[in-house]
Amino acid sequence: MAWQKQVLRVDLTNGTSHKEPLNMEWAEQYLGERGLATKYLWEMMDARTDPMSPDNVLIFATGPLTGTMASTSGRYAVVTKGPLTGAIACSNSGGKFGAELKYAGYDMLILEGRAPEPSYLYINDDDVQILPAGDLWGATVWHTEETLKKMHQDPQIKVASIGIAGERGVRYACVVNDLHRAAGRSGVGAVMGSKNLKAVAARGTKGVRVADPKGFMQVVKETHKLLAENSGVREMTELGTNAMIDAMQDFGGLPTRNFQEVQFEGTEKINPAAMMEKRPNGHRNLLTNKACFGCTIACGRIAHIDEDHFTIVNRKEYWHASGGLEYETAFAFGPVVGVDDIDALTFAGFLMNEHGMDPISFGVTLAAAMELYEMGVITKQDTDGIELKFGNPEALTVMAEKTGKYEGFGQLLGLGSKRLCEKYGHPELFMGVKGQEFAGYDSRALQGMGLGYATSNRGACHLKHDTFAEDMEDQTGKGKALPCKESQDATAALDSTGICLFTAGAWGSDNLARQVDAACGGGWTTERFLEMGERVWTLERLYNLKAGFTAKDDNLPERLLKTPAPSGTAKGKVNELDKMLPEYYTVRGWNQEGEPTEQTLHRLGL
Amino acid sequence: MKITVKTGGLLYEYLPPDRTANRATLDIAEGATPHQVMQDLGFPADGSYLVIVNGELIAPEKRPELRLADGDQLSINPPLKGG
Repeated sequence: MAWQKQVLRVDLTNGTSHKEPLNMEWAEQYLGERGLATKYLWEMMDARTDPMSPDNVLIFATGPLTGTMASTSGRYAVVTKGPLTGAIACSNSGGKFGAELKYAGYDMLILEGRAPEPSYLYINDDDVQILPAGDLWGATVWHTEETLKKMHQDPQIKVASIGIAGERGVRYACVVNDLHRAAGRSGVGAVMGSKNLKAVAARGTKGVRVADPKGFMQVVKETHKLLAENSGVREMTELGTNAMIDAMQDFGGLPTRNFQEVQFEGTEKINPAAMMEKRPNGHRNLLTNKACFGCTIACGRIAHIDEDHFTIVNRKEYWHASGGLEYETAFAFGPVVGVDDIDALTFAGFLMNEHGMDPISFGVTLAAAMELYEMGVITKQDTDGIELKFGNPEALTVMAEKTGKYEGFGQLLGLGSKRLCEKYGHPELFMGVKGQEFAGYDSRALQGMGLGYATSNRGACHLKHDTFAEDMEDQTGKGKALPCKESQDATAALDSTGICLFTAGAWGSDNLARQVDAACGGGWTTERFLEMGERVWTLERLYNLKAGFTAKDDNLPERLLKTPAPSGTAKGKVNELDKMLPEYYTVRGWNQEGEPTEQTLHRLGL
Repeated sequence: MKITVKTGGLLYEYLPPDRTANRATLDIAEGATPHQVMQDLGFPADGSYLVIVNGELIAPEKRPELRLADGDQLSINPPLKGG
């Protein structure tokens, strides 16, 4: 129950599809979404496969709670081998697409092979067709979604698609659904592009059944109340995730100019207050907020750009509302590239959604390029005549568009920071882990964040663990290993349900387990739920070990390990990864080479 | 003596009506602590906050001990979280 108990498997090479029963033995061990897709990936492909080859497998997976009346139940995950990192990629998204895929009758969509010509997949309940993409190949995400709805004469179709960036293999291309929600990180859109698959258009009418409707309704009512009464949730509703930028600035954890600094002088020009400020000409950046499927938080921002701004003054096609700044986009187009022009930041965000790119990886890659430019390693001759200095809003928006369209210097930015910095002989300027760029937290100020970054299975990521409370209390490496491990497991469990991570501030794992238990037919205690999360995390680790990663890859750039934070509450500090990592391996039940011991594998049934 | 208080997120709601955006200048008693200032402003005692004085992080157990001085900058933010 709650599962549809059906997988849609599509062989793009041969143009065939078939439905098969969901492996319920695996579902009992890995639940759904991130966890279950990881199990399928592990069983289906060799982890050493080239991520851009037809042998890579691309999985869209819902969770058992996806599409139910549980709050925030719109999530689905895209799991594959990532082209940015060579590690397992797991990017999840909200919007409405995930619930629609499930309503069509599928827990999971497995895409194999490579279509002989650009194609898209149309799913209308049991009707599944692989159709030629035609002129959609080369089109933007926004155009693709609008066109598919018109072509199929159904505005209720939900679309997940890629832009030119995904088609052309930008290493951090994402899959965008519902115009501005995205499975954003690790380049899952590039894998979709390598399969000649432009879009998945889904329409479902089947609904979802839960095992214990009365019990489920009761626990959903209680958990909705917890969200409604939580002050952190209220803050996300009213201010969005960018509410945190002021705190991060005061704390001194806001990465600035490619992590050379930790505080940004322009923060108050791009914070929530700036988004809400009415200007002398009457323009206000923020229009409203927006919720994903079934969400009672509504952290999304809907914004528009001043029509007189240089970015769109002669481009009426952008004189409309779209996804506005969130914390990570504010960071990636603001402090880390030194830009404080809120309209330029908002436009860069539009371009990410329109062309299908991860804003974090783009921004941090651009930041590295700017540092190379200021060092004189690259010049205007390399950058298509653009002055790639920190703080230049034109450099931000022009390069965002060039990368999205895979033009000029944008092609090099599309490599990601690691490959770009290596190309120009300065690998030390890459700010990330395992090939993936950092999010907006400096791990000299947030020690546990550094450990989480270093050990994240998909490369540097802030969403796979939660040590914020510990990082606020103590700015040394002490006491970070256990909460890092435990929160990684809890997050892996949450990511396997179909629920949004932003419920975590109000719901503990017990509240999630109760919902899963009522929906899935009992037996889901909190202990079992968390053990499932640990199993998922460990299987992801096994995947990466098989792919060739070792403990040496659980590392941070020297800038964070040897150059002290220049200001803020952590002034003078570096990250103490050398103290945290051995303890982390121990609490995980791994040896000091970062490999799970036989005992740990046995305990988890691996 | 006077101090400046700056808040993050929605915590400006605890500042006096004469605040400017998320900032306010407060007249406080000699030797007042961050804990007392927050208490006087009505911050719920069971809340979790990120408290910084003049750029230095003040742990919860230090908040009732630290004596504020004239001209100090007190920053009160909600707890850090992912976004």
